[in-house]
Formats: sequence, structure tokens, C-alpha cells
Amino acid sequence: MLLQIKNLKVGYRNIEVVRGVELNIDKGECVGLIGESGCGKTTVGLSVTKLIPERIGMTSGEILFEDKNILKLNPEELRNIRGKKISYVFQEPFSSLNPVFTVYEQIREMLEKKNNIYIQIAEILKSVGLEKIIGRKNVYPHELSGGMQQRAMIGMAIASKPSLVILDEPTTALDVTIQRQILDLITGLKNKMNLSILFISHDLRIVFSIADKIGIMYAGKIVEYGTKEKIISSPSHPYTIGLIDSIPSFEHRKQLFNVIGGKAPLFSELPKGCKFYPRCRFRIKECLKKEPELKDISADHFSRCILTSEIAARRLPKQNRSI
Amino acid sequence: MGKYVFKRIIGLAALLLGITIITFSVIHIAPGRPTDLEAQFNPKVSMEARERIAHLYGLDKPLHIQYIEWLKRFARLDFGISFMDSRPVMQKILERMPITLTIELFSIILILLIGIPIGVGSAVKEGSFYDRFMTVFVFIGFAMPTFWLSLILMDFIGVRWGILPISGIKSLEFEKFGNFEKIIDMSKHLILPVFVSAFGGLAGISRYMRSSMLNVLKQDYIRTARAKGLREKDVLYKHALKNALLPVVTILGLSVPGLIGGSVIFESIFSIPGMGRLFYESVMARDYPVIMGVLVIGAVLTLLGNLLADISYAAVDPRIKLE
Repeated sequence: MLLQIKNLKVGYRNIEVVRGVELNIDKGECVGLIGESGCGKTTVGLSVTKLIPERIGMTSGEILFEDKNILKLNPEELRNIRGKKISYVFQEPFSSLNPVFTVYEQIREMLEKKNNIYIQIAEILKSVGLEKIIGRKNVYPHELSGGMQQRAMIGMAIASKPSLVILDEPTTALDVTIQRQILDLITGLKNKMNLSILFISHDLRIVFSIADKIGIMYAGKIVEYGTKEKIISSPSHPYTIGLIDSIPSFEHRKQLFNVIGGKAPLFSELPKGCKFYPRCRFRIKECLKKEPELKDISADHFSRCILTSEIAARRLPKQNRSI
Repeated sequence: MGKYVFKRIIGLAALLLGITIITFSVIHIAPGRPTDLEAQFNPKVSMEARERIAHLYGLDKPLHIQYIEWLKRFARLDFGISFMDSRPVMQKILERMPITLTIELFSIILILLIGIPIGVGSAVKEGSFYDRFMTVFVFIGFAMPTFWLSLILMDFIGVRWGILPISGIKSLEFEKFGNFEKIIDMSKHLILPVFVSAFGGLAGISRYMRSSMLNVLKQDYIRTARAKGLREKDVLYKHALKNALLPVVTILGLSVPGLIGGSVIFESIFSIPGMGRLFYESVMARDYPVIMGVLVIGAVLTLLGNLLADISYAAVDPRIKLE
């Protein structure tokens, strides 16, 4: 196992926003992490290399990367993992690239071997589809389009041949045609370099197209986890079902969307028992007693719901869904 | 670029014309006349004599005619002749300018050399003892009245301990000194004025630098720099500092007029024959040509300073192109 996250908890001031997350990523595997804005998924991603400043966030639990607990490493050891073994691609390429340094300079910083730098950079630019700026050492980020900026970010991320890349909503800020290109680029690089990927997104369709395994996060915990096929064919948590059913479909374009009612709870006032209870279509009294554990449903498929077996039967009829 | 500068200079010329009209009117509308000193306070001077003096200075003509005459001379860069001692205004200004320029230049260099590191350090260690200590320190400088600080320093350093001379810019036996001794002597005279001037100015630049740096440290590209595994010193003093320094360029441009404006208060206290005192004396005597001369030069420098700030901003920030 390349990365094992065990009982990860992160609190901002006194409010816990990641409340015990378990996640494993194997070599060459792509794990998708899905959730609404503010469910803690970005925090999980940042915690993997302790990118949350200690005076802002309290982190506990274990993050084992190549069998070393990252949370216990000193700054020097962390630096040797950040960017070298685990790298990031963030949501907003425009604000994530430093505006006053050239793209060349920002990629150069990632290179460990300082010989033949321009050849190395040219190879990286080529591998992310930025042939156009090869040799143009004075190009600044603002001179590139959004898609090209994200390619430059990806180039930076793979420059030192990491084993794990954490992609935090890498396509959210891009328009749909560019999204497709970036996803294809990521898939291609993953296969070529045997990368492991943690793909964080709120867009189910994108995650379905790229991930091998999927974790659904709600209110700081994973509520369902399984292989992509299992999640698509037999979602078992009411939240997952709600998310999948709300994907609009072309055939039913005249219908209203099947939205999940209500809104995500604030971390400062989480409900008792199951955190999804107030919005759940299938709720019963027992749900309020205590927060359910993540339990096995079948091989490689877990759900945090006490009703899993009965839910499938009460789901929306198939003709009203797009998946 | 050349076209931009040309267009801006045309605009600034128009602005300057407006400024001269307003200052000229305001100065002449202000109560008191240049002839007062020679005539009004002397009961023996007859009405005819007063009119003769007024006629001599051209003060009996309507205001707009006086202005046009002034403008005609100004167009030939002739600021006229001082009412007080009949010397050319330009000559009076030029003999006062070097000393003020020297003091202000040293003071601003000192402010930058000390203020920028204080601000950057405070931002990096936000909320620490260092940050709070420096905040108090620079605000003491800001809040302390210049005249009071000058007097205290003169009393202790100059009078009681006799370390430094307390007034003027040269010792009495200056003419007897060799070249090297002359420089030493003048430097000694300048230490206190430069210190007083710099101490008061520290707050501005250091607080500005602090907030600029704090703002930059919150940006996404700083998180990217950390995620890349860069050394903390590269994150702070390469990626952050270069961005944080950009706005300082503007401040430098805006401080250009202050370089020759001088300060009435400490030039008077330290008996420095600089621009501040020249201006004060000429206002008191209603010496219109000198007042106009000093104000117009100040206005020109302010406008050029702004232009310079814009041009240099474009030079240091790759995102800005002047069109």
C-alpha cells in the first residue's frame, strides 16, 4: 500500500472538519474523493503532506506513506516528500502559479538534477502538451490560457517523477471542453508513469470517468467507499444515491432535477446520530441514536448507513435516472 | 511605451497648468501683501510711495494679467525675481535644494533599509513578540512629535554628552578643513536630522510592507510553493517577497516630491538652510515669485513621480503593460 490514511482528524480552532477519515491508495491506483463544498475533502488532500499550518489546523491520526507516518516527520523530511514523492495540482491554476516568475523558472525549481535543465524542461512541457512554449523562457503564467496554465501546473507536479499526485478539483475552474483534455492528459500520464492519484472533486461524472475507487465524503467523514463499478451499480448510502440521482440526463431534460433537499450542516452544529439524517429520504428513528460505523456490504464496498440492504429497493425508478 | 509616456506627459502638462492657476489664485487671495513689510507697518510711507512699490512689483495689475505674465516667464523657465532680496528665484531655490535633497535621500534610504526588513519580519512572524514589539516601536516613531524628539536628541547627544553638533550643516572653522575633514564635518551635522526624519517615516513603510507581505502569504501560489517542497526561505524570500515588494515601487514614486520639499519643522530646529525653511520664509514675507517657484517645482516633481511609479511598476511586474 502506497498511502494509508488512518483515522485522520483535522480541526480548525475548535471545530473538527475532518472527523476520522480512512483511505488507502495503492500503487498506480486512482482514488476519487467526492463531496460537497465544505465537507473537508480539500483538507484531507492538504493534510497528506501537512500543508495545513499548525497554528491554523490541529491534525491527528496517521498518514502512512511508504510506511512512514508523515504527520511525525520534521520539516526537512517533509520537504523531501513534498513535490518529490507527493505533488499537487490545485483548483485555480491562475492563482496557484506565481505571477511574477516565468513558467520555466517555476518548473525549474522542481528539478533535482541541475544538468541539462532546458532539455529536462522541454521534455516536461512536451509530456503535458505545452509544445508551444518550449524554448520560450520568458513566458509568464498570465500569458497562458486557463487550460495551458493547468497543464503547466501538471507539468510542475510530475517534474520530479512523484509516486502520488493529489489533484484538488483540477478541472473545476476550466470550461467543459478543456476539462476533457485535462482529464485525458491526467489519464495518459497516470498510465505512462504508473502514478497513484488522489482525485478530489465534487463532479461525479468526472470522478466516474477517471477513478478506480471512490470515497464519498459528507460532513467530515467518508460515508461510502468502494470500487467505481460498485458505487455506480449499487450505491448504498442515501447520500451517494442522492448524488447519483441528481445527475441531470438528456433523456429527461424536461423533468425537474432530483435534488437532495436541505443543505450540508455547519460543522459547528452537526446533528446527533447520522449526520445525513435531516436530509435523508430513507430515515428512521434508529438513525438518531448514534452515528453509524463504516461497515462492509460486499468485498471492497463500505457504507456508513444502518439501512443499506433496504435502500436499494426504495430507490428512484431507473427510468428517472441518468445512470 | 514611448507613445504611452508621450501621452502621459501631455496630460500632465495640462494638469500642471491647472495647478498653477489654482495656486496662483490662492496665494494672491490670501490676506497680506508683499508690500506690507516695507510700507504698511511704516506710517511715514505715503500713499503714493505704496502705490509706487506695488507698481514696481506689478501688483497693481488685475490678477489674470499678473498670472499671464507669470506664465510667460515660466514658459521660459524663469521664475522671476524675489521681492525680498531681488535675486532670481531659481538661484535661491538651487542653493537650498542640495542640502534638503541630501537629508531626504539619506533618510528615505535608511527608511527602506530598515523599514522593509521590519515589515517583512513582522509579517512572517505575525502575532509574535517580535511583531508586537516592532509595531509599538514604529508607532512610537510615528507618534512622537518631530520637534520634541529633535530637542531631546539635541539636549542629550549634542549638549550634555557633546557627541554631535546640534545645528547648521557646517562647523565654524569649516573653511580651514581639508576635503576629507569637510565631508566628515558635514556628515556629523547631518546625522541627527537624518535620524529624526527617518524615525518618523519608519512606520509608514514598515506597516505597508507588513500588510503587503501578509496578503501575499495568503495567496494560493504560496501554498503551491510549499507543496513543491521548496525551502521555507525560498518560499518567503523568493516567492512571497518579490510579490510583496511590487506596491513599494508606488510608494517610492510618491515620495519623490518629499525629496525636495523638506520639512519646515526640523529644518528650523536644526537651523538647516533647506527648502522647507525657504518656503516658510517666503510665505511669511508674501514673496509671491518664490512661493510659486517652490510650489511649481513641487507639483512638477509630484506629477513626474507618479509617472515614474507607473513606468517602474510596469518594469517590475510582468503582468502590466503600458499601452
